Amino acid sequence: MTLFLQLGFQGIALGLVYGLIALGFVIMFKGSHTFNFAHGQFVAIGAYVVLVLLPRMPYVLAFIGAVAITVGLALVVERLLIRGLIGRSVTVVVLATLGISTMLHNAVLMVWGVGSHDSVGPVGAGTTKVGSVVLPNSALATVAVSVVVLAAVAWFFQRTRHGLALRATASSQEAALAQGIDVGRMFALSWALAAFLAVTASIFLASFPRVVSPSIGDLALIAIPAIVIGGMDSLMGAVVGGLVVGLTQVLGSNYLSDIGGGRLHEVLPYVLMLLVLLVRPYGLFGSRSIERV
Amino acid sequence: MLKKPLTAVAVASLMTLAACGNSAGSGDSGTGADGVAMGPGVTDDEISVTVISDFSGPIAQGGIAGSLGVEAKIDQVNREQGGICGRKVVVDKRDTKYDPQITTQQYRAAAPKNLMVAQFVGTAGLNAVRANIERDKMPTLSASINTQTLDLPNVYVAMPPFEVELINGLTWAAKEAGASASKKVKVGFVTSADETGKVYLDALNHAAKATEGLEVVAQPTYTNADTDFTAQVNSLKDAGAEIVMLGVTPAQIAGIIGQSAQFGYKPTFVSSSGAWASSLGKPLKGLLDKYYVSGGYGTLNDDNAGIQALTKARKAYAPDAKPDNFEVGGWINGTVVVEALRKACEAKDLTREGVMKAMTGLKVSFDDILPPIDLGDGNSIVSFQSRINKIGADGVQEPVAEFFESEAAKSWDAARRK
Repeated sequence: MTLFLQLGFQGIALGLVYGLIALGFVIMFKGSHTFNFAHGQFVAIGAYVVLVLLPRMPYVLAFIGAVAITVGLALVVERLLIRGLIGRSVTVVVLATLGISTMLHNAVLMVWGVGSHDSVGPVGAGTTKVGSVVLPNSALATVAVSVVVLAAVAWFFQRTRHGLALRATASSQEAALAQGIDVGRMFALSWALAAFLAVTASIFLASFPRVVSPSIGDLALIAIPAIVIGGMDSLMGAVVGGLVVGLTQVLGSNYLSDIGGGRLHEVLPYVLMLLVLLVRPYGLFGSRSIERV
Repeated sequence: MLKKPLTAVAVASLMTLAACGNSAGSGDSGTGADGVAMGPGVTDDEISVTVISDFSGPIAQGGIAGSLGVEAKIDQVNREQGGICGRKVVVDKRDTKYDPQITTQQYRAAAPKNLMVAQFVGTAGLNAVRANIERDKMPTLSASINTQTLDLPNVYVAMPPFEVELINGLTWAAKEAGASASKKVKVGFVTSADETGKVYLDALNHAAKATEGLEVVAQPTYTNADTDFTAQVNSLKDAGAEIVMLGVTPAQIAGIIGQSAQFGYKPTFVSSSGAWASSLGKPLKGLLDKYYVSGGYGTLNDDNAGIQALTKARKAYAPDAKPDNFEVGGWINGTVVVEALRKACEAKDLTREGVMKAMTGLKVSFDDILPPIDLGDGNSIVSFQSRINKIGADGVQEPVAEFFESEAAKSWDAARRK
């Protein structure tokens, strides 16, 4: 039982990180109808900027600085490279984000090299014992901060004027325009929010004992099954999907280790993704879109 | 009437295509002004060799450092001796991103332009182009030092393979723990859930059986997608493993050792040389007092003629490069390339066949970086010796014992070859 609780807690912590990343994907998709394959690289850049700023200032300032820089970069990319493609086919936009992803990955390699670096989590290697279960402080911090951030995002969408405008834009750009909403600003806002979530996720994805390395951008893409499972346009779905993927990976690495040569837990999120696509193509929490043809 | 000309055109096209296909092969480039037979990549002025490695993917840190070792050796020979056989040796670097598909493309592009592969990184990549290497008669030195690559045609491994390092590491740790008929010591093995992991596991299980007093209690596996090692660490801890052998890569070391510390689990960890990268020293600071590396070759902290020559050559070639022990492995392969090309030159045969002939029975001394080796027939393990190192303050390995070989490593090889 202790091991189950231990694994379950680690799975929830990892799943919440995937949830934060998946939420970024979903907000961009809802806000600007863009599936941004470069989002993983924003996660990587966020981690590297925290790494650079940490020795020079307190942790909170380093985090705020990383958010400012990553949001700035996301806004530049959105305005200069993506905005002009709106209205073009989905394939064109997806290919553009793949190109941007490659560019950003190579920029990371050029600036910071190929090696691994230190961890950048807000807490160190310490642990807290609850009964017989050992809870790493890094995982506790991941859960606590993720819950607060997710609640804040939900509040933003439900209770603020900008959140409402963003939802209106996601629902219908024409209707939003007719109501006087600056749709362009909403595109930018969705990218900025996603970049903020990317930096938040990055500090936990590179939390002890994980480290900052160029592969962090690829690790972030494990959130993709989470989005499909939860629903491409569902904020709640992104979080639930993230938890499903995290728990599957961590619990599966123990309870499924004797099946499929020990690799089943690696592919299980993708199997679940395919099953959801077959049964509910719009995801567990996504909305079924109906188009008049 | 039309059919015959069309058939002729088709046949001619096929023959042209076939000829193009063979251009990546072992075709000679003729004879040089000095009477030396020249293969692909060889001219009167140059000998081109390729390094096929990961320069920007998941194991790029080791790939780049390993390549630097080859490049520094060849630069040294060019500067100090004017090259080999009166020709400057050039290195054609190809980035595989550790992806077998890209590896195949890069090999195909490099093959027609190079005499040999001075260093090839990646077991999966090597397997992807094994047929090409055999068809092209391409002499290839593998930096993925395991018996999977050693067994491939035309592929040479100039260092003790990781399996030997792991077996020697286990026998050393067992002795340190006082394992004997009267004192059982529990051991666990962590390996990847793939073919390479199975090979390491077989070697370790052989060593455990061959060493008195060892009991294997856990054998957890991992995949490259794993970022959390709670399951693996807890299975080792719950089984009471006092020695944990790590058949892993640098990508897993921080997670396994870091999470073990978090769960209050402090066994003796021993890995092969391929598992450690010096950059991990910082994030794991204070947690490495019971972690050891069994290395088949020396470290940058050694004080011997070989390491001194490598350090001097690296400073001349790449003064800003950060030291990493993988460059020692590259230096070893570079030294073998130089010796093989010299021997082939003496035989006036700088073709691929000439190089492979030169490699047969080639004896190379590395000025104490590792004991001298004999490449033999190219299909045998060149040495069963390794040395145990601990991790110093800067993440660089420091020896705690002299080179030694275990009977378990030799009996494992004998069993494997049957």
